Amino acid sequence: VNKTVYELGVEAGIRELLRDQLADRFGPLPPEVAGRLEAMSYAQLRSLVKQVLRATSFKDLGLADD
Amino acid sequence: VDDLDHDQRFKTLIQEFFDDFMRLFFARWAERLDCSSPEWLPQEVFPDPPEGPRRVMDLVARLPAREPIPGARPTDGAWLALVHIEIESPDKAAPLRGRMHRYHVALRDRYGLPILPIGVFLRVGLDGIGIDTHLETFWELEVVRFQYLYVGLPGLDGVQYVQGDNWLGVALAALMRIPRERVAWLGAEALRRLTEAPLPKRRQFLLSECVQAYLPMDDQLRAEFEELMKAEPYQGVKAVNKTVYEQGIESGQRRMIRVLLEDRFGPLPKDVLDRLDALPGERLAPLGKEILRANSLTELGLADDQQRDRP
Repeated sequence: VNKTVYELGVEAGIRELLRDQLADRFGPLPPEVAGRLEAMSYAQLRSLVKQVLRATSFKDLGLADD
Repeated sequence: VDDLDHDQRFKTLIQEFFDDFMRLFFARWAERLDCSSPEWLPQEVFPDPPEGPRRVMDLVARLPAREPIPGARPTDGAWLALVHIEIESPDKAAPLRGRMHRYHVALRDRYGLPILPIGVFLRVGLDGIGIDTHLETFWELEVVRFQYLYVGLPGLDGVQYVQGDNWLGVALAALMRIPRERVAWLGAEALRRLTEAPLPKRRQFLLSECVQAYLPMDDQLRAEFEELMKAEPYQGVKAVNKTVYEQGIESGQRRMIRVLLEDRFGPLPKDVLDRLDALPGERLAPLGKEILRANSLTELGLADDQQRDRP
């Protein structure tokens, strides 16, 4: 138990933004990708945001294995 | 999360509820001092060599004492004193000790008034409420022995305070020690009591926001909390409070959109940042998708002319 409600909200907001962007770029998120996104920390999410612009696949982003 | 300003939130709370704060944690001192209408001195800036060239003190109040202060002189018939409060959010007590002493010396030299020093620890419990000591020695010689009052919120019993009759205490219970199985109940109960409290709306808001901002949560506890808020005694509570969770969502999205825009178009001019800050929350998610395809800030409605855009 180490996050405040506000911090949980910040993470949820970034996840929501990423889900929309990823779906827009690569189509509907497979459950595996959605699961990995859900498990990411704030720092990981923040870093992922920057990669979305240049990535060409879920795999590029480390969200899928193949 | 990087830019939360815990100190600022607390400064506002303590200024607004100063009398409650003193009665709640330092009752004996509250009896001696007239805490009903303190004069808040402008932010005091002093040199602070170990941690940087200059630092700003958190809060300094000037107020009259209710009884003569031994060793002091009255000013225009009143026994004036200062209350100096520092709010410490890191999870260590040590850095505050030396700072309290340095600030104390600077305040005493500047105002020549007796000073009551108080430290507020947001993440260190110590003994809950007590007196902490800063010691400076030279071999066996105790050169400086400086004491200040403190409250270490995690050292206090949140379940007890949330049921108390001091409204500030009800809100601050969110930062106190709470058994995991009672976190959701405590949050819901604090919000219910504050929503029903006979307080002006602004004060209700400040206290409720404190509960939502600091209640320690993870996903499981949050789900428990949400479920509990649907139950009978709490149904009216949620409608009244715009949740801090929602504020967090908006802040996270705004922050990431700025990161994306800077990545695409370089450093953002002030007027673009102003426009971004002024966008309503519901505009953020669509904007996040538009950035993927946009060729300019103008296309996104964030700049007026092409000169500011970078290919």
